[in-house]
Amino acid sequence: MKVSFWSKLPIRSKLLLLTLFSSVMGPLVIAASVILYEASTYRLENLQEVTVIANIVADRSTAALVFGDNNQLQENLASLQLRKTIALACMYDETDLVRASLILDESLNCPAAPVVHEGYYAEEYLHITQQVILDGEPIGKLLIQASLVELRRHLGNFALTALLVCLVTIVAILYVANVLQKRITDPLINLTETASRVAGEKNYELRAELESQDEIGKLVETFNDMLATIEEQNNHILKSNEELEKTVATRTSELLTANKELEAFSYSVSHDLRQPLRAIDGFSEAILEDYGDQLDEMGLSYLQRVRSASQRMGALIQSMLVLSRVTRHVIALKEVNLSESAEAVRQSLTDENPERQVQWSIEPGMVTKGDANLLNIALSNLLQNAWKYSSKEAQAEIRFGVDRSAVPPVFYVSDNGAGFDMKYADKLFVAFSRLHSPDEFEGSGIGLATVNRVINRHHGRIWVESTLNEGTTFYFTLDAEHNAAG
Amino acid sequence: MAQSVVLLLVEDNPDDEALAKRALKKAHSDSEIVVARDGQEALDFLFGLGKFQQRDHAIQPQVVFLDINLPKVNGLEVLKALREDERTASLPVVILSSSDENSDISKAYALGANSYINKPVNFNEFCRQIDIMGQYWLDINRVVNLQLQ
Repeated sequence: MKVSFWSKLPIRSKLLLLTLFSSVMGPLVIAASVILYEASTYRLENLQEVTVIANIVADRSTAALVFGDNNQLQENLASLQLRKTIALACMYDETDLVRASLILDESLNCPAAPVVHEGYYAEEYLHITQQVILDGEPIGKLLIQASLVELRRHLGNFALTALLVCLVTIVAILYVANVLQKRITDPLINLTETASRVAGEKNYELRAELESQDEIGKLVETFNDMLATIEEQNNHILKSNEELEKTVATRTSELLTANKELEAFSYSVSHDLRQPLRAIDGFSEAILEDYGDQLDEMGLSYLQRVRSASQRMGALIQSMLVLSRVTRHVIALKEVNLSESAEAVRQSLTDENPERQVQWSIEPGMVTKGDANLLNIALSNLLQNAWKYSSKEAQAEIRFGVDRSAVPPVFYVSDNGAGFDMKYADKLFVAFSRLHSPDEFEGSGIGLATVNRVINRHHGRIWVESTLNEGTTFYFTLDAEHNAAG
Repeated sequence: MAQSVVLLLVEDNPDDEALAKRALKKAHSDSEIVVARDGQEALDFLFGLGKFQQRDHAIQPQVVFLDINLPKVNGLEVLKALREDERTASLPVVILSSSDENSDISKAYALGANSYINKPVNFNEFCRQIDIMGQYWLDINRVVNLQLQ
């Protein structure tokens, strides 16, 4: 609580309190020690003085005591009245009988049988009891009590003076300290205000005012240096941001243009290139139908070749379109059940070729996050490949599964078909490159390029392991950062 | 002009026109086919304008086979004009296009196409599709008969 109060105080108040404390403590300690010293000195002096007076009165009273001259004794004691501090004086004979007394303080009385003492202070009084001696023999006692009122008054005056001096000193010091501490706190307050303004306005052009050459001055200088650095870096960042935005805008517009061109190209490919193919195929068929009887076997076979070539080209164009669509497609991520997709592909392949005997193994419940359309295209391609390249096997086997122990999970599609020599593996995912002649296996050479692009667009990886005549396994992962097979 | 027309084929390419006619004839040899070579000609025919002024435009075909990529007024514009005119608002329109771009398909349906066919390269496949189309639109489907109302 106290710490937080102190820490909440402004530096100005802290400095003031500090100055006040140290400046008041000094005079106070001095005054206190002077008072103590004075008190003890006064007591000592008082004792000596009263002792001397007592000695004198005792000396003068020996004859009167011996002769029992009480009047003389009374006279001697009366002379003590001159000392204002004397409150009581009693003269005893050797039998401790009071022979004379001087009572200046009504509350006091001559005590019976006083004990000899060379002086002690008690109950506001100095007590002295002295023997009156004649020729070495005690003949009586003199008791004197001196009041300390004088000492109190004296010390009171002194303390008052000291207090006054202290007050004057405090006022003077406060005034001077206030002026001096402003010199210390003003630059700090200025610095604080500048820092708040910089933070508030985000204006890094502001500078704190340099008012001194001490540590605070150095702090201000360092602060200003830092501001200069921040301003420079800020300007740099703003400038590069601006440049970056410009670059992004330019690139985006370039990309948009490129995309538009690609779209226009795809459109024209699908539209304009297929139209002549339709004519080639259609009119070849028309010749076959209408004039087939006028052609010999060779002529008929040539026309068939024209037809199948145009249809192949049609399929190629279709694959190119799919590839370009995979590239342009806006990815929409959601949960995709790959097992179900694969099952659908299996069904359609089986329906198309019911005569084939294929052992399928599709792991159930393979769910991943991805774009359903793209993943379907990729999966269809991979399974169709497996189907196609295992077509010459008597006991064809196609497997689709996932290794969940890997991070990210690794999916695989394998067949026990034709396989290929791994030294050609790098050609596999390149568009239009094929490892088999059309005589062996039909194909556009675009399917795996499309699969590759789908996997790439899912930030995944695809690779292949194959042995000639034993089979092929494709492995792929999907979006290593964000997805997990479940 | 022919009063008993049942099918309007809007096709600018003579090859495609010949193949479509051949396919249609194979399947429906008795159907009357009118061919328009561009969008404007199709609209003129349907609304009895231009060189079709003499035609009784109350007699509408049972179905229009419409290509998208047409000179002058393209297929989608023709479709839009048909749907905006009450005389042709319910006329069945089948888009026969070389394009299977999603954007073309969705635009066509948005403008009120009744069906969308992507013309295949394989002529046999094309014949099969035309056969199915013809059966459906000419034999099974019923249209509003303006002549009797």
